[in-house]
Amino acid sequence: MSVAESAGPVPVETAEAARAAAAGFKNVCGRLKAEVAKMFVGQHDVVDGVLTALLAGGHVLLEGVPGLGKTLLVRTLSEAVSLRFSRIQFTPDLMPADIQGTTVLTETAGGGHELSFQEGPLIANLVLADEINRATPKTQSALLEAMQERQVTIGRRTIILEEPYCVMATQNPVEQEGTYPLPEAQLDRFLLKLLVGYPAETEYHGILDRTTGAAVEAAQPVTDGAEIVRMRATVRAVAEPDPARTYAVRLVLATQPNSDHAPKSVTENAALGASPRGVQGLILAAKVRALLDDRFAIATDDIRAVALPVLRHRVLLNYRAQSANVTADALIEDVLAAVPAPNAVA
Amino acid sequence: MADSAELAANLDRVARRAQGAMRPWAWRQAAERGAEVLAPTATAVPLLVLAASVWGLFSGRSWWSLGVAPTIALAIALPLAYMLVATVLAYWRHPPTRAMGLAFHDHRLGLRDRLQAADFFLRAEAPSGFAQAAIEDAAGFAQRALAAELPKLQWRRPALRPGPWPLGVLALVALVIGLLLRGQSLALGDSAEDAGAGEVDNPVAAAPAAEQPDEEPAHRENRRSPAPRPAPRPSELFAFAADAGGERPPLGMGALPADFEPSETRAANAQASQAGLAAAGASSQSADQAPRPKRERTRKPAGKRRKPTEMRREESASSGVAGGSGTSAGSRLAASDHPAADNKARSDESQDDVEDDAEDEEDEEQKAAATRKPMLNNQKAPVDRSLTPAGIGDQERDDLNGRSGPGGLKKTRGVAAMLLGVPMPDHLRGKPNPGRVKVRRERSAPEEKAVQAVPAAARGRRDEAFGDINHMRLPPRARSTVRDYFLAQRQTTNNAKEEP
Repeated sequence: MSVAESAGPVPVETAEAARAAAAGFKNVCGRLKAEVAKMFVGQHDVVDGVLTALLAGGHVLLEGVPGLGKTLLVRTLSEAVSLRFSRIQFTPDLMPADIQGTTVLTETAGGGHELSFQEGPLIANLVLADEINRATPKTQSALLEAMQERQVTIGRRTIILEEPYCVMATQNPVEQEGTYPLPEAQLDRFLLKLLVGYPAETEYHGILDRTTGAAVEAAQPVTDGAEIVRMRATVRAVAEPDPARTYAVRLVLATQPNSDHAPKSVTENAALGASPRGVQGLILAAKVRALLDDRFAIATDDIRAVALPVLRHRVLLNYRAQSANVTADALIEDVLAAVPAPNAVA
Repeated sequence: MADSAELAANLDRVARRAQGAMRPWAWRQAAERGAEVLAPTATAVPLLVLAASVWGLFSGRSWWSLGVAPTIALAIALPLAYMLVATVLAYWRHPPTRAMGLAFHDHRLGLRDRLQAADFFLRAEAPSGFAQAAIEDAAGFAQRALAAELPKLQWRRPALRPGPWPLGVLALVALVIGLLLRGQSLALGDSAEDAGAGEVDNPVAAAPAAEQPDEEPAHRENRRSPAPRPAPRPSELFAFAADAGGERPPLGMGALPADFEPSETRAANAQASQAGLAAAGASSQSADQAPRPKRERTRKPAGKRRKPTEMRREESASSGVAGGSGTSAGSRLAASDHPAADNKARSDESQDDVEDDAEDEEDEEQKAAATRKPMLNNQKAPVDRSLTPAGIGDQERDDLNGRSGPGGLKKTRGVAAMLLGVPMPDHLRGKPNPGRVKVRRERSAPEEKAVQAVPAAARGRRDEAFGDINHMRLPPRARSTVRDYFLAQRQTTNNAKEEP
């Protein structure tokens, strides 16, 4: 029996049940954060982002230079949630069958041979796609079905992936020689794109304490897959008032060039804006944030807070922006400044 | 349910308080929107005045009948009235709503949209568990909003945008120019006559008016354009003299002071004196045009018919040849100078046809005279009999009848034509067409060739970096073009950033 089947529906039909679910959500999140903090120092925004993607039912793309602990964060999180974890190191010669699985010839007990299917590393609960942009587009595309439909089709065999399922990919912004930038279709399937920066000076001491000393810390499981599935249901039950929903829609429209809400900078510098997946991502990520803030409905402030990680990889820049060093983050900042919240005064 | 009703009542009170506080702010916002139409509207009346003045400048009649003060008042009042209407409409379209009042409290007290969310969920038919929790959560915050002192809404001064200000300046300039140009007209050619005609629409009716000394000048001024004019014109001087009861001065012969003499008259005088003709005749002809503009307009087709003749006269005068044509014209013009003849010609229009016939006869006489004295009347350049290569390429002219020198073709046979007049390139640059590619297939037997294979052990260890591997995807020229483009773009961006 899969984890999803064991979790079952979560009825949140009364205010009391909602309060209990929200309290449980916050409790588990706190424990998860504490467990991750044992291994991973600082980078609270990145940790919150990864947890948001996991609890909102999305995937996350981590981008940062080597040595910042991206892989460590994902591995620690998988240990803390006690889920089936697999790690795929993407290389240029990696083939789709290497990650999806293939039929191999095995020897039977009687000395005969038969063809049997061997699952690839993609079939797990938490998948770490390390340096995802080093694989060819053919192999990158093998992730599309798994990320969106939560299933893998190999020949005539279709494997339904077990919930919770989450792909956490990393990529390196430097050393772009020999890499294959992710196609837009795949970028759009990531709920968040988080930029991992260098830690602060005080955090370096904590890193040294944990990694160069004699004591070896290890993350312990604090929850399981069923709990994660219940938390995902709680997230989806958070109420959405109309002003916040309208604001999210307008923000996404404003990222599309030549739309009614788009500022001039977007029209001039963006080749492609966010899709309806962007609105879904804004609302889901805002719901997680509202729960962590002890609220039962999302607010426009939540939408604003998650706009950058949700939208930055969905805005495609044109040549003019690239030549002028205009970044997607700058355009989203312009969008946030140009689009007022509904009913906003002054 | 009771809690929900109490919360709804509290939210109503909170929203009403905020709406009351926001009303002045909303009016200011509406006024700001209304002010956006002020500058474009302010250009309407000045542009109308300017158009009317420009029209009057060329036609002599201005269709803008308002005075200076009413015009300025209208130029100010119209945009203000329009701005007032736009302000009221803007307020009517965007009044401070209940949701805005709740959002105002949410924002001021940092409630994270709790009041707005509760208000939204209260109106839902079947709120979910989280919605009910949000409603209950907002009850305490609504009490807090009621107790909190409402902050005064700050109205930010609208930024001075450069957009509408040039329109305002344009309106002011147009108004000033339009008012300065009112009642003026250009004294150029027929337009001066038209301007005179504009003053008195019917010259036939104007003549008796000029002969009535007892009519009040001010009364006739009222019939004219009401705007004051800066300087009197010759036609006005004539009218004033007639009104004063004095004799109309004899036209031509220096009857006008030099300052008030029309420019056309002065030019005609100068031309006639230069050609040794009857200057008085030319002057009288020009001066006669002023009091009878309508007749001149009716004779314009005849003037067009006479155009070739007049051109020949001008050519003769400019070449300094005093032919019979000049004398004839002078005598004709002098004859028309007589006041009696003038009056007779004015009264009898059929006399024009007689004069046209006389002019045609004069043209024939001129042609006959030109046949007798070809070199005097011929304006063609002397024949070039030199052998310079300048004539190369000239076409043989048939009208010379063999009296010309060697033509261009003939000159090319001379020694001078051997000089290279036009530098010609002695070779062509570029790549000629390679022509058809011929493919020939030959059969040959495969040959065995020695292979210089390097054993793996002898290859050594690759321990050095490859260095920068340049991917040459574009031809060098394209790479250079792309590089220049992006450098120029970056330079433009940097310059823009340096110039805030």
